[in-house]
Parts: sequence; structure tokens; C-alpha cells
Amino acid sequence: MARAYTPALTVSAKTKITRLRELPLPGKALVKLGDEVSSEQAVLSAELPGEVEILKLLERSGLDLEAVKKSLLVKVGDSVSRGQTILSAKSFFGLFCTELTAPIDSQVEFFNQVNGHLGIRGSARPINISAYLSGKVVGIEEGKALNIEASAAWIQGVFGVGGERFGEVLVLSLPNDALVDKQDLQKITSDLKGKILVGGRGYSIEALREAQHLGVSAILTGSVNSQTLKEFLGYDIGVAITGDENIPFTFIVTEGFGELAISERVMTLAKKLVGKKGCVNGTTQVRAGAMRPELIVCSAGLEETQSVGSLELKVGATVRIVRTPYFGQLATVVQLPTELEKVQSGAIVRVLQVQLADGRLEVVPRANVELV
Amino acid sequence: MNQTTKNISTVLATDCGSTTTKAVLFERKSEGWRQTFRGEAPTTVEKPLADVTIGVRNAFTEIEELSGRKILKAQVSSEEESPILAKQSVDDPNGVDLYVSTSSAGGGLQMVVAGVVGAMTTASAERAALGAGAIVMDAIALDDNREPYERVQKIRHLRPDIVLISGGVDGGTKNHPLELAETVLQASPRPRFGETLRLPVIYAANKDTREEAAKILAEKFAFNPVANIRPNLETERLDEARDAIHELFLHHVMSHAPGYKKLLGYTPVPIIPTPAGFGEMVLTAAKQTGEQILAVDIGGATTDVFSVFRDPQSNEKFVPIFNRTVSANLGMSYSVANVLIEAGVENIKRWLPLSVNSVEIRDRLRNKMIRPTSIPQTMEDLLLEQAICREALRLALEHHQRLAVGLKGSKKVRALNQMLKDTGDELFDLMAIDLIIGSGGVLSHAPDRRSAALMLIDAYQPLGVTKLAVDSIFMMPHLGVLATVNADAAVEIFYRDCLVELGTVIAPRGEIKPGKAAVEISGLMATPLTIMAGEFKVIELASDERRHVEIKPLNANLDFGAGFGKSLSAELIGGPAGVIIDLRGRPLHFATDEKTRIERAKAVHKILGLEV
Repeated sequence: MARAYTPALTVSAKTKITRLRELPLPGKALVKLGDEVSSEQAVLSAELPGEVEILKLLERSGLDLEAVKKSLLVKVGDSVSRGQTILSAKSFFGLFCTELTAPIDSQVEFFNQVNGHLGIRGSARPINISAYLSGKVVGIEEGKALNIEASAAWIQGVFGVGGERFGEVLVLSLPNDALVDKQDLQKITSDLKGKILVGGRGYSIEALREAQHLGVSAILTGSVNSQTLKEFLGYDIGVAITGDENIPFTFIVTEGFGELAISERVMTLAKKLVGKKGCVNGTTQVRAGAMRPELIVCSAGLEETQSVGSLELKVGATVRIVRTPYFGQLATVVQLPTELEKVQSGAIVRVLQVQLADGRLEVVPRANVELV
Repeated sequence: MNQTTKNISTVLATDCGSTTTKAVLFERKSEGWRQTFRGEAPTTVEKPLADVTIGVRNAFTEIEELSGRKILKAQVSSEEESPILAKQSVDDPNGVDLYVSTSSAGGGLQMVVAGVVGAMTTASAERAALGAGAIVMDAIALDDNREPYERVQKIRHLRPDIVLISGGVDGGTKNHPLELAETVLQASPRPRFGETLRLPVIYAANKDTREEAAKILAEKFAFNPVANIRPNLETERLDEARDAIHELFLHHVMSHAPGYKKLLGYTPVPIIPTPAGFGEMVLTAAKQTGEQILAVDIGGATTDVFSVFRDPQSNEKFVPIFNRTVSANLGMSYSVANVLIEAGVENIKRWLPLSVNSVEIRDRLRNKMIRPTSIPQTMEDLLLEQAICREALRLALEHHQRLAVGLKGSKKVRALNQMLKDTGDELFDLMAIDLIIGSGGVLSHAPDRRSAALMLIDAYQPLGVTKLAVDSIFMMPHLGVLATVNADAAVEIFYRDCLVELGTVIAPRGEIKPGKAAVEISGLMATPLTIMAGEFKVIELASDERRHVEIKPLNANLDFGAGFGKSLSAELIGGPAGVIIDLRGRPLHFATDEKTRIERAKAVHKILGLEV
């Protein structure tokens, strides 16, 4: 049966993390099983086939199809080097000569007998995949993928944009519910280039632009206003599949959209990670195979905290409510009735009774809480 | 398993969805075929489990627990052996006679189509793909105003399961379809599943270019030439391309998806894409009843629309024309923010019987997007979801009307002037629709069935006399695949256990001044009922009741289905929403000031007995 509540987003001082590093096409591993690797080290590589370039020989030479066929000096499978003559034709009793040369080092892929197009494939390009985690190689699928395992501090966000980045953790000296503005960043005396900034309920658009200007590597904050995100990205996010955005830094929110203070538990852990090198990934995929954005600090040297994944939804557990009318509030579970109950919307669902921070007792659907 | 369809009496069916695998048990009882038990489990096609059969077996286990019927064998000798226990006799309390399945796991069948002219060969290719149950990730046309490098980049970025190339009539242009083949080669998109799989390319273009196209594509792709889908300007021929899509989906794409090789061995019936199963059931029901049907399945990520119309060119009683479209990014959770973007916040607000700040709507819907399993607790939140649903349905129907898909018949002849305009328009007529079926959580599980009826009415604005219904527990895909082997059983279950009738809506085409007498309906109540233009009226009629009525327009500018000013007889069905006479006008008008708009929306809700 599907779970009646959303699994928690993890905030853990010390936990074992494994990340699969995969090549997009067959290649080779650069490390061995058991090797210790660092996060930015290349661990896999492959040759990405060169791109096909189409040479429209009729248009380029001014010849007709039959003349092109007769004058072509290369055939399918030939290797050609940049500048090499691939077509040569003489006209007007040999007075004029038409020549075409290869624009790149390549191999002839096809010659289209109908339209005279010549397809040439450029040289293969190497691609490398980094380890992402500083840890140990614990599994290798030869030529394809490997697993890296590390003991690390781990903070999961709920939504992010931007891909993998690395940097040093820096916690902002601001209240958890403060909106980070441009001046807040300008006041920081240390160099923010390459830093992972943690804190605040969100950023103003000016602050995001300032972060870009200062060369920040990543931002972890409480929430974001839809309009601010749109202004920053230049477009609206419509589907919860992110990670490929072409943006200068990775941006992660831990609570959601709107104006929500970054949670105390995130800040408590982040403060212990200041000055340490971490890796972040803003990739978010809410569909099956869900991926949430994350900040990981490998070998942070902290003591193990309770494993959130093993927590049960039980009386006394702390939960975060993720839907109106109590959206964003932390609460304690008071009762877990087994019977279905009708809520105000008319839906008949499994519920729980919680005590909010202000002492009020309220009933909420189990589907609308996350364990924290 | 006993595969003689006449003798079967216990069928197990699954739909392996992106998130959940839903299993249902169909059994032949003394009163006929019934859906008896249902179980579900998370789909396990993704890592770390990466084997779809694990989720399938878990769903079977749930049915076993609920029904007491043993379905799984105690042990199997090899991984390849089917774990499903076969019934030994008609009365055997354990085992099943047949297992069937649909699948949309991993996002369903995803395709890129290409053609020379957007309105012609590309549209035909799109219809072929959609009709086969695919999601069209992009439709490339040489006249799509994109630069060649932009097309290459777009295709490269996508990871389709299959590429379909069309273009050029037989004996016509050779250059253009070959240019498309070159574009596909340049892009060389990688398949989603199986790093070593050669991406299937179906080549349904000018037959005279096949040889050259093979030279370009055969080395790098699984090249599948089929008959040209546009052999001449007047003919569209989708069947071979559609069959090739199904064949490749089954044996090429699915066999590379995690665990599907095993799953294919569990069933003697081809596994079909979920939307193809849904569509098959809609089509089967239409054939059996002669009704013209519009059906919608609104999910978390996509909205599928299906329609079946009577072929106007046919002299036979009912030759159906089946249409299917999928709007890939119109959904209620994962892509809810895209509905917001496409519809605009004002179009969402117009349905709300209360005032909600636009900024709040934007943030709230994005929070729904990132926490898709949460449910509306407050009435305000529910009304917002239902407003989003109306817009998603409306946009998906617009998409459907633009691109109605011809599926039935190996050959369909269209006039050239019709082909050059929007081909969907000539097929799609809301007045002709007899029945609208809604499926998907927001409709099937609406806390009050009457609100499901109102969502369908507002979004589709039906014309004439239209019955409304919802799919009770999302079993139309299961019934569709069952229909491929036993249509009678599927139809029996469809009407007994699947379809929940909501009521009937009566609405005219044409408009007259509000307050003027518009229609007289006899046979619904003890005395004839006169309704004024602008009114929205509800007459209670219980679920098991029917009424034969006479509908007489009181104004020559109104058409209820028999023509302007003409009377008609109709059979009305009852349901939670009863009979709704909607004289608000078509299209619906909205007040420009928020206060009046909210008051009107409130009034409509109250008339239906809905809380606001």
C-alpha cells in the first residue's frame, strides 16, 4: 500500500550515503573497487561520438547532382582531415576549378544520392564524470557506472534548480525568517566566491543577482517566491523536473514556495558545517524515482544523529504540515486515529491530531504531513 | 493458463503506472462479469529495485489478502517462469484463467515525430503516434520556423522511445524526408532504456526515399520502413505506422525496460500502453451502444482526451471514428504549475466562488507540484484544485480539437481543403456527444460527485443533451486490454462496476437575452417546465431513474440538438447531479468585476447543493 504520509526530507549530521555515477554511453572506469576518491576527481570517462555535419554539396559547389557525384573525391567510411579537398570539378574546358574542402577532421558517414548531401562525423569528444562524493568506490558496473559511498552530513531540500556544484559552507548571520537582501551579502567581509550560502527565509531578486556577481557556488534557503524564481530564471517552472537550468549557481529551498523560514534543524546542522567543503545538487524530480536537491558534506566529523528514514509516524513525533491551512508549521503528533475522518473539504481520509507550536490542537490528513 | 476466452471466468489485470501498479480481479458470477477485488503497490520500474514485476507481484499479494484467492505459485523454478497460478477447473477457488496488463511506467511511450509540412505530414505522424498511445515529445516540421540546428538540439535533448519520420507523398518530394532523416542522424538521440539499444526509427515517408533513408539511418538506428502515412494528398494511412509503433513498443522498447521481459512472459495477450487500453474501452463501449463519447483521464502529469464519433461519410449504422490526444504537461500535481502558466492565473480565478490572492495561488500550486501526494484539507483549497482541473480539461480539449486522431480504418479519405485547415474541427462536434466520461483522482474521487459534474460542464460546456459519468476506480485501461480478448465481458463490467452516472446536462447552442423564456421541457416533472435564458437549474433525478422528455425551444435562436427552434425527444439519466439545465450561454460569460463573478460562481455551486 502507498504510504499515508510523505517520507521525511533528511537532515542528518552523519549518515552513510551512496551515489550512483553513470556514463550516458559505454566507457570506462578510471578507478578501482575500494579506491578512495575526492568529490571533484574524474572517476568515469567515455568518448562521446562526434556530431554529424551535413555538407550541402550542390549549394556549396553550384554544380548539379550528377556533376557532384562525378567530382566527389571521398566515399563513405573515409577519414578526412580539416582542409582536405573532398570535391574537385573543372568546368569551361578546364578554365575554372571548383573545390570543396573538409571543414573539420572527420569521417564520411553518408552521401545522399538524391540531394547530394554529404554527412561527416567529427572526432569523438571525451567526457568525464566526477565522483561527486569524497568517499570510497564500493561497486563498479564495468564500462557503465560505479557507486561511491561516503559517511557524510546530509541536508535534503524540497525543490532546487541548477546541477552539481562544490564549495565551502558559509552560514549567514541572519534570523531564520529574514529575507536576504543585496546589502546582507555586501556586508559579508569574506570572499563569497565558490561558497555555499545557507540561511534566511528567502532571497530578493537583487540578492540573487548580487550572489551571481560575487560568484557564489550555491544557495540553500527556506523558500522562494514564484515571481522571484521566474525573474531569476527568466521563465516560469511548470513541471517539477529540474537540474538542467543554465544558471550561475545552484539554488535550493528547504521548505517550499512562499515565505517560509529555513528550519531550525537545517540551521543547527549547517552551523556545524561552516568552513567545510560540500557538494550540492539542485536536481529535483518529483515523479517516480523521486530526487530531491541536497547539500552533502563528506567526512564532516560529526556525531551520528537519529536516522530519519527509520522514524515512524507515532504519537510524540514531530511533523511538518505541508498544506494549507497550517502550511509550513511544525507540530507534534497527539493522536493517530485508525478510522477515516471527514475533513472540511469533504474528503474522507486517514488523519492525525497534532499540537501546533502555539498549543492549538488540530486535525490534518496524514497525507499532508512530513516527519521531521 | 486457460486461454480460451469463452471459457474464462477469472481474469487478473494490472496497469503498471508511473507511480502505482493497480491490479484488479474480474470474475464471472451468476449475474455476469464483475470487478471483485482491487490491490495496488508502488511501481518498481525505477532504481533501486528496477524490476516492474516486483510491484506487480506486490499488487497481486494485496488481492490475495483481500479475496482469499491464491494467485501466486508457492515457488517457481526459474526467474523466467510466470509466478501466476493457473486455475485447474472452472470451480477452482485459486488461480486465474488469464492475466492481462497495460503499462505507462517510466512515463509511458514517448515519441518524437517529424514531417515535412506541419499541417499535413507532421500532423498525420502525430495522429499515428497519439493513436498508438504515445506521448508526443516534439513534432518536427520543416516549416516549423525553427532553424535546422534548433531542431537537432531539441531532438538531441529528448530521449524518445521511438522516432517516426513522415513526409512527401509517394512519387513526390525526396529531398525533404531525407533531410529529416539527416536531422535525426545529426541529433542521434539516445534511447531512454538500454544503453546498447539502437533507437527505433519508423520511416513512413515517400516510399521512393526508403533506400536512401536506410543508407543514412540503418547503421545507427533500428530502421523500420513502413507504408507512407500520406501516400497521396487525399489519403491518410495510419495503420501500418501504428502497428509498427505497437510492435516496437512491445518487443523493442518494453523488453529493455527493467523487468518487462519477465512480465511479457506472464501474459499471452500483448501489453499495451495505458492510454491505448483506456481508448480501447471507450471505443468498445461506443461500438456496443452506438453512443458518441468524449472521455478524459486527468492525471498528475498528463491529460488524455478520447472521443468517438460516428463517421459522417459512412452509410452503415455506426462506423466509429476514434480520436485520442494527450496533453503531456497538463496535470494536477507534477505539472500543475504548467496548467497555471498555460491558463494564466485570471482564468483559474474565474471559476472560484471566493477571493484568493494571485500570488497565493501561484505559490500554493507550486507547493502542490513539489508535494504531489498532499490533499486539499480546506474547502478553499479543494475549490482551487477544481478550478485548476477545469482549466486543464479546457486546454486539453482545445488540444484535442486541434488534432483529432483518426485511428479506425486503414484508409481515411479527406478533402484537400479540409486537410489544409485544422483537421480536428471537421470531426469534433460537442452537440453530437451523447456521453462524457471523466477519470482521474480529481474527478473520480471528488468528495461530492456533483462537483465532478460541474467541473465537466464548466470545462467542456456541452451542447444539446449530454450524459455525464465518471470512472469509479480507474479501471478503464484494464477493461480496455480485457476487451481485446473478451469485449462482452469488458462491456458488462464497464456498465456495472466502472461507470458511475452523474446525471444529464441540457444546454443549447445559440444565445438569447437573459430573462427571456428559452425552453419548455415536458416529462421531467408533473407539469411542463419553462426555463429562462441565463438560468442554471437543477432537477433532482435519482441514479437509477430515467426520464423520457420533450425539449421544446421557445426561441428560434436556440438549438438543443434537433436544429434551431426545433423540438426533440430525449432520454435523460439521473445521478447525484440530477438533470442540469444550463442556460448560462455558450461560451460562458464571466463578469468583469470580481465581486459579481464570485457571486455568480457561488450561486451555481449553491443551486447544485455544493458547499462553498
